[in-house]
Amino acid sequence: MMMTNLTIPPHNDVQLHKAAQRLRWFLAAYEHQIHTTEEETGNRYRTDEKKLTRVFADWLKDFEAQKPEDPRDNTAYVGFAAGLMLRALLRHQPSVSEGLPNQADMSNPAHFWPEGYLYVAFCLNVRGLVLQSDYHEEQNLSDLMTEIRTWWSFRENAQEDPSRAIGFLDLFAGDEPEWAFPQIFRVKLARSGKGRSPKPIGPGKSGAAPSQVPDDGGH
Amino acid sequence: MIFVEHGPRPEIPAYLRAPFRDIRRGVSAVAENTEEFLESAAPMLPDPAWRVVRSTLDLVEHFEFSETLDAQVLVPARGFVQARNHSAKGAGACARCLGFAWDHTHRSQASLRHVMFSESIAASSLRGIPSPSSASSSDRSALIFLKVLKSGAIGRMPGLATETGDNVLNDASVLLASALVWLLAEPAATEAEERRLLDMSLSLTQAIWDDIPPNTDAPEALGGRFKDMARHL
Repeated sequence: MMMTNLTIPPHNDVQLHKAAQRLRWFLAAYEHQIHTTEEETGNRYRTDEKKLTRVFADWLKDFEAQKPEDPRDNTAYVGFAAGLMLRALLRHQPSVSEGLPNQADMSNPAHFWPEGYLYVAFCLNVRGLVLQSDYHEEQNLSDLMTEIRTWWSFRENAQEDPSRAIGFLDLFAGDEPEWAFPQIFRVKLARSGKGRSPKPIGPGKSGAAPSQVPDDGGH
Repeated sequence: MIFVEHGPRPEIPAYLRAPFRDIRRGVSAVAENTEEFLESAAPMLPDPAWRVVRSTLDLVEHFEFSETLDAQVLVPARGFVQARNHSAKGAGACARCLGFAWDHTHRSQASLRHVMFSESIAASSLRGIPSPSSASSSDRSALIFLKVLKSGAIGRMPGLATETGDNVLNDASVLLASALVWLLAEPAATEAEERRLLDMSLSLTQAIWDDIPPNTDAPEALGGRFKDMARHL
């Protein structure tokens, strides 16, 4: 199973990462993603726009709160912001699956968890597009994206604590996840060795993976 | 209905358009309320008679002027909110847009169904806003917000024994703020998209209203929040 590329709405002369911070672009891009995912998987979705706006508002608040001052951290922040978006989508659940295709294959993540798959596809697609368009970097998805055991773990962990979804999105995107404090950007930055903050954050525990993540999950 | 859609339409002089729109809002609200009150008496009336009454009230309730919200209104209104013009025309256009926003969205708020907006009163209050020599552009939208709220342009319909609930002031404030955020944001390409943008603005403002400091003595901070929301619309 491959994740289809998202056709993005126009963003005029604005850089994509700036356009993605606008509600009008966000709603249009999400709508594109629903059509794309429905065509790709045969799933059908119903979406509540009020909840989707709430997702955007919550994400914006989280996004602004941790925005790095040093522009050298912007690329890393794109990935983190995508994780924050996934967390907001899982918290508010704006989309509901209204049906699977005939003979749906439950070992396919898109059919196993249709809503989760839609949210992940959206976040990864926007992440990849922003990295490519504004930072000339390629996103290389992990094979774990199609691994059903990872999705079992992802769903269970995300239902327990949506912040853990941030680590799983990194995992799917082929990045090193931060499991202990996935919701704090500076911790992730420090662990990746790129941290420019002189202050250590957190109690310094090793970042243990959440329960049931496959052993090879962290690469 | 035939007269409204196909009959001759008299040209209304510009200075009477705002009061006429207010009258239309008032008549429409009275018709809506009359229909609600008569609903309980409907079983006592012969069915054909009730149908005639209801369709007449529906016609009055949904009667609208043929005027559209085009660039001739939106450009001076946006200029006024963004402190780029300070004319009486800008104030009138701004009040017109606030009235448009009210008409477009207020029925979605249960608490505002019996609350009215007067474009004439709003325009009059906006003409009293100081020019940028004494008010910076960043707090112009906040000044408009506070002026309109205090002007009496928004109020319960007189003579109606209806419950409006406790949320009227808060919901009216959110609606007014969302209209200003819409006017501060980058314009849309068509009128249909402007309406859609207005809907989005209301949803976004509702979603983050709790974060806006309720301190109305700090227009600079309030205006800053409006601008910030507009940037993200």
